[in-house]
Amino acid sequence: MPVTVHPPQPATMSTLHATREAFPSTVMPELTTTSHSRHGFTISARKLPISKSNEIEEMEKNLHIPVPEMIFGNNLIAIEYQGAAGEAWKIEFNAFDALDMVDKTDKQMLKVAYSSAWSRSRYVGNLKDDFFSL
Amino acid sequence: MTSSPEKAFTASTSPIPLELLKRPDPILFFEEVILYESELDDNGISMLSCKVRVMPDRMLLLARLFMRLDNVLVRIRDTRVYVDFKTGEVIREYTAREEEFENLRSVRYQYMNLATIITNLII
Repeated sequence: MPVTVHPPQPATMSTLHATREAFPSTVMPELTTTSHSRHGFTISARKLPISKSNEIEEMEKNLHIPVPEMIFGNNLIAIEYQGAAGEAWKIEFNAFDALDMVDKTDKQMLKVAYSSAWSRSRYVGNLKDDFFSL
Repeated sequence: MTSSPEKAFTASTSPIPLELLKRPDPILFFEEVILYESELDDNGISMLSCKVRVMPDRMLLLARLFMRLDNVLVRIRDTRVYVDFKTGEVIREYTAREEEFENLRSVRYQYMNLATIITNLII
């Protein structure tokens, strides 16, 4: 007996509201940025998924250091002030700026716990002499 | 962290009013975001996160870098930004604490617990 199968109906698209329900895309950041205003101060926050590989490449190119494994390059928290007389002030916390402040020289690098044991275990003798004496 | 150059922070001795922040004021806005996290190639953890809470008369932002390099050291670097909405005063405070693993021997088994570590670190 033939069975007719109706193709699944596409869900009706509801209007994209400017709230947390928006798809986490970096294309329209204002849709995924939540904020709250009070007495001239606006506090905003943006929470998006981990940066994509092209974004990471771009960051590393501009930072000149490798970025951490899990980098949320589009996340931020900012405080902005807009005064009645026109004065403006802003402070923003994001991954790029934080990493930009890291020491990019190798002057004060930390070492892992086993680094001295590993260095000691490396061959330190004269390889050529030992090889020919075998 | 970027900040407008026109209104730069100036040195101050007024601390962030912790007592006022302990009041059970309603929280009108709260958010916590992670900026980056790394397991240091399986040698520990390094995490930069930022959280903010806004109450009717004031707000507090905390940007915290927590790093644990296994068997080497633990480091916490906090930047706090406090805003008093009535006066428009903004206070930024940076504190850094760090201690070597050897000296955290007594709390070693609890080293995953951030609160315990903080009390043992030297400012």
